[in-house]
Amino acid sequence: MLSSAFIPVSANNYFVRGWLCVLLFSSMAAAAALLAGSCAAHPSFATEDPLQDAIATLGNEVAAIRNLRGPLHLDWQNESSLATSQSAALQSQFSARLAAIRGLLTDEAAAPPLRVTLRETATQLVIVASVPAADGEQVRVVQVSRAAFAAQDAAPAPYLQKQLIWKQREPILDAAEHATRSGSVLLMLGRETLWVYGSLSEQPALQAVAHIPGAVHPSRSLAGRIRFSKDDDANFVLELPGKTCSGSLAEKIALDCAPADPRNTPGGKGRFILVSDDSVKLLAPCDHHEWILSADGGDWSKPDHLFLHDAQNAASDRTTVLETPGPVLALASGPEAASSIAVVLNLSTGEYEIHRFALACRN
Amino acid sequence: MRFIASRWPAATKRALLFALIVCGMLASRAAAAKHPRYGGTLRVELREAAISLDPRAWKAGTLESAANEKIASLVFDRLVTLDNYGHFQPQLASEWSHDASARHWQIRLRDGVKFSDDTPLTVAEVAAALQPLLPTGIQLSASGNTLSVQSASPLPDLLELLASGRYFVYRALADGTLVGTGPFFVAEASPATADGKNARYLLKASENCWAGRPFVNAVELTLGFPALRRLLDLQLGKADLIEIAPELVRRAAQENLRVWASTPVITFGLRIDASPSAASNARLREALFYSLDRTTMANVLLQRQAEPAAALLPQWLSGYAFLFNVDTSLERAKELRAALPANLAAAAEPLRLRVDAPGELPKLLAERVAVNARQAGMTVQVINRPAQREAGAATPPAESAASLHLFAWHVTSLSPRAELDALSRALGATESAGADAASAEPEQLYARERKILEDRRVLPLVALPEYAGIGANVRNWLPARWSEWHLAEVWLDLPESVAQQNLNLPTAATQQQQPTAPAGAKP
Amino acid sequence: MSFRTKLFLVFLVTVLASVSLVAYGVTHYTQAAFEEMDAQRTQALVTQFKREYAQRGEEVQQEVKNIANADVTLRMALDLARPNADQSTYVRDANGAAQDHNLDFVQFVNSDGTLISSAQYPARVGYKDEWVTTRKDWNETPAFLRKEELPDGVELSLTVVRALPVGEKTLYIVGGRRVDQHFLASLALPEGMRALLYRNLEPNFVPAALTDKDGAVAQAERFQPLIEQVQKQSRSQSEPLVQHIDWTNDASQSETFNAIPLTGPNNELLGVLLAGSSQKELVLLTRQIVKISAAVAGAAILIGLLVSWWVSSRITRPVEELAEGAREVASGRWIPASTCVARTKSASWPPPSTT
Repeated sequence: MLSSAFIPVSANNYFVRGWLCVLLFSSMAAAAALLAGSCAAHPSFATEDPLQDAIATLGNEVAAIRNLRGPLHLDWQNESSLATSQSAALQSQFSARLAAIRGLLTDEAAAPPLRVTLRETATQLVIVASVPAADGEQVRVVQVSRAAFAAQDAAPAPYLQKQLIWKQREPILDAAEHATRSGSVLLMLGRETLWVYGSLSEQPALQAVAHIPGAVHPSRSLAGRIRFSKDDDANFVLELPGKTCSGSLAEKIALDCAPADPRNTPGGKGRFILVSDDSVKLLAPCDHHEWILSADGGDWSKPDHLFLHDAQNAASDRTTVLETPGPVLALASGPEAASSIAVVLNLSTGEYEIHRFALACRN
Repeated sequence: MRFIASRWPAATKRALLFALIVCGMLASRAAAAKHPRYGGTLRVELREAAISLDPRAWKAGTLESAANEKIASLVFDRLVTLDNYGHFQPQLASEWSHDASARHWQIRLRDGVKFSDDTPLTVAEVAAALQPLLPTGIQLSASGNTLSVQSASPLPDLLELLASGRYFVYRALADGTLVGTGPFFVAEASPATADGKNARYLLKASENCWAGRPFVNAVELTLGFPALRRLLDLQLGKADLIEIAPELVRRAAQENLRVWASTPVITFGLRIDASPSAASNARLREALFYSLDRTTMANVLLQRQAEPAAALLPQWLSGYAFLFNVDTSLERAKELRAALPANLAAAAEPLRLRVDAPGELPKLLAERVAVNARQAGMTVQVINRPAQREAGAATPPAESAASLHLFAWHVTSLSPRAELDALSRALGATESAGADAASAEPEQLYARERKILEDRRVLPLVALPEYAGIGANVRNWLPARWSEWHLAEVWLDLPESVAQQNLNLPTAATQQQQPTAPAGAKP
Repeated sequence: MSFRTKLFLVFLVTVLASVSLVAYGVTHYTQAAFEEMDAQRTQALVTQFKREYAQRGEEVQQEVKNIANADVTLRMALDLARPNADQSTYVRDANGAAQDHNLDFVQFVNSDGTLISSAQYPARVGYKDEWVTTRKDWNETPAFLRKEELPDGVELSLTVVRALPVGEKTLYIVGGRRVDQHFLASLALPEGMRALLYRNLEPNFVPAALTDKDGAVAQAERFQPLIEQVQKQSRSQSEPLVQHIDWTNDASQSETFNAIPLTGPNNELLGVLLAGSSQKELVLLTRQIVKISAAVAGAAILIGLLVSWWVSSRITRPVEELAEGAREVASGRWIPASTCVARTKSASWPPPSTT
């Protein structure tokens, strides 16, 4: 009897089962052979990591230096295209190797530095260790072929996803997206008014409006700040030119204002200047790497650019990720670690817009 | 299978289909505009007044040699190349392997490769071409389709060696002409004439190139135009690719021209003779070392087009150049100078500095060295190269007694060891017996280089990139970072009418019917 | 000595004295006139040189002013006035300015004296030229002579400095033209005159520093005394210094040189202009006069000899005869010798009738 699959069907089930087993085993063997072959062809899948081997060698060479006197402070500089995480792992490995020598390494920055620098040449990743020793500085160098490990983009910057969540004609000094027990709310601070919107769907609903009491101090600056208390997620403080107001999220918000702390008004009477935040820290959702989002603001006559740069690599260059339709008036962290909120004046329409920027990783 | 009745009427389906086809055509047409296009002549202008396409005659490290290499890479191929990501790419070699000690290498040759005169490439010819170019101690032998490399000392950097410098594969014809397997062949060569006509070369595309025909039909090469003329030609559209002199880079950028810079590949430095003269005094050399303000030379005099150099090998080649310091200490220089006897420290007779490199830039650097030295109390007199003096001017009486020389060194090899060897030989740098001259280990190289520099007979000054100006319609400009131009990948975005003309490409048959121009390159 | 001889000698001496006096007078006054003319020409040359010098200075002043007023210079000044300005951007700008404005020397100096760009000595960029910042009134200062340091030596430069203030900072523009043999070649000199320039750039006399419009001067060491005299002379003294040089034994080859010191802004001696006047014309003229005088004297003597002999004989003969007659009367001879002489002389003389 033949099935539609043209597999001879025998009444002898054992024969069939045996045949199937052989088939299965052959397939698995072939797959394993293929896999083994590809493993051999791709050194990155080799059982030994050449980078780790190199660091181990370097660690041994440094440990073998005569008259090595600690304590030394490990100064690790990654100036190659090696990913930060990879570099951090190598640093840990190196530190662990030297930790075996009692009292060699210390966290004190004032101690003499043991400098380890990672740099690239045309063909190699070169790791150089400069070690102060009793008879002068000792240098140990190891290198790994760049072809031996998968090259990664230099400081592969993730990208920003932009979402316009609000716009209006009336000036917005600051905006804050805040997570409460009952959900997220959006606070918008105007010169004289505070608006609170809930449920940031397509049509956010106005939850509360509060008039900011007291006179509006003449100020050309559009600076204002909304600060939430760390202890109580309902309490907030509004910093405005010339005054500070405190309040609490409720159906009916009552604001209690007082003249501003002189420390916040460096310009003296009549010149109320608030220094706005021009950068926020964001955490990439894929590798939890820290990035700093900043704007180049200041000139309200032209659009701003948003930059990302590696928070852990001070020497890394800023990457321009986005151009905004106008100057960024305020930049703040969002309720999630990967998001932020910005108030932008759209120079084309004259409207004040609130954008949410979320960090997304590249594949 | 059960067919589901379509909700779309047939007419609508046809309309949609038509729309899709049209869109596809439009998309493909739009996409076609961005695809590489065949045709056109790439017009290139170089600084050198003459080139040689015979790798055997090149002198390592010279600026002339670097220009020769650029053009030779259009006519000849190497066994391997190195991409910008650190990977060796097969060229005439398809595979390679070596033993554990890296003393014995096996290189398998690519099949089906032919020279530009249609003769097949053989392993014997590869061995014959490369053997005279390789350092002593390396023996080549051919067997079947495999080239064996045997070396007395480990050669872990053989690929770096073969992927750079003069290690091109060629075949010498009976009349001395060299033929290659490269993407172009030399169709016409006009040397420079006494009445001021510049040397010109016309390199035509090789239809049967193993890597594929290049996009442009030909490369027209003009040599020896002055720097400003080359820049103006680029601006006026009379040239597609030029070498830009460092002093004109800013101007080119201000004119919104496309400027490309390599990694620092040219090092300017001072070499102090070992002759028994005032300069041979160690303390004087030390004083001179401390008096040199390299940072100002690079950042001010050369308008940030250079980097201060404290090492012989650049950072991108050795990986450890940053360990050497460029600190200037005028006070230390004065102290050392003051400690010297008055008759020794050039009080009566100045130290003579001869500029051994061509161009205005080395002269400017030499004058700056003289100014720096004077600040420290040393007198340095600059003597120019004979070619730089005006015709008919009298030869300075003491030129032959110059104890300082300002040299220019162009990186030739991707192997730090080979490069350091060549540099040491060329500069006559003495090396200690303890250093392992054959080792390619970075620590050993660092120790060797440190020893040379500590002797203070060689004083690096600045490291400079090469600059190229690229025309507006040049596409696929993908050079190697160390200044190797890959012109076979370049295509020209020409106007439609010109592109149409260029579509009438010569076929292999028509090419054979053309008058037999020398298919090779006369050295 | 006979009366005739005495008379002859008197006439001769008179003629000689007259001729000599005239010849001397002509020579003397001619020489004086020539010297006066020579002095006038020298003064004219000096005046011309000063005028040329001043005019050259004005030209340099105008060109430097044009550079200072140019848009590109203003942009440079604005850019350099910013904090952390990139000075290297302008390293080559002085070259272009020098070429555009036909100046030999152009430098741009920053507010703190740092050399931003130099057409003549680019290797010095980054070093300080502190002399530029010492004065605040550059815009009212005319051109002055200055030592200009070059890679291969030192030159004299007619220099002008202009200041371009931008905010609290100032950009200084220093421009100049060489004062050398080419400058001398631009002077229009009358026949027989030449100008030399000694560049006083070393404490001691250097023969090679003396040039004329064609270059080095032969036998330059002959000028050493004059130059040293000028070097020692106080700047306040205005007496002209003159030296006469006999190049060969031939007096016509000699020259007289007047030295004019050229000073810098601090009254330091930077150069000496030597106005040379050839003595050839005077010497030749003098010789000519002497020759003519000698010829005239010779002719006069000859004529004088003849005339004086004839005159003397006309005068002395009757006197002699009278004296002879008187002697004969005194001696008792009554026949007047003159009668006898007359009878003897003339047969036709009829004696006077006695019947």
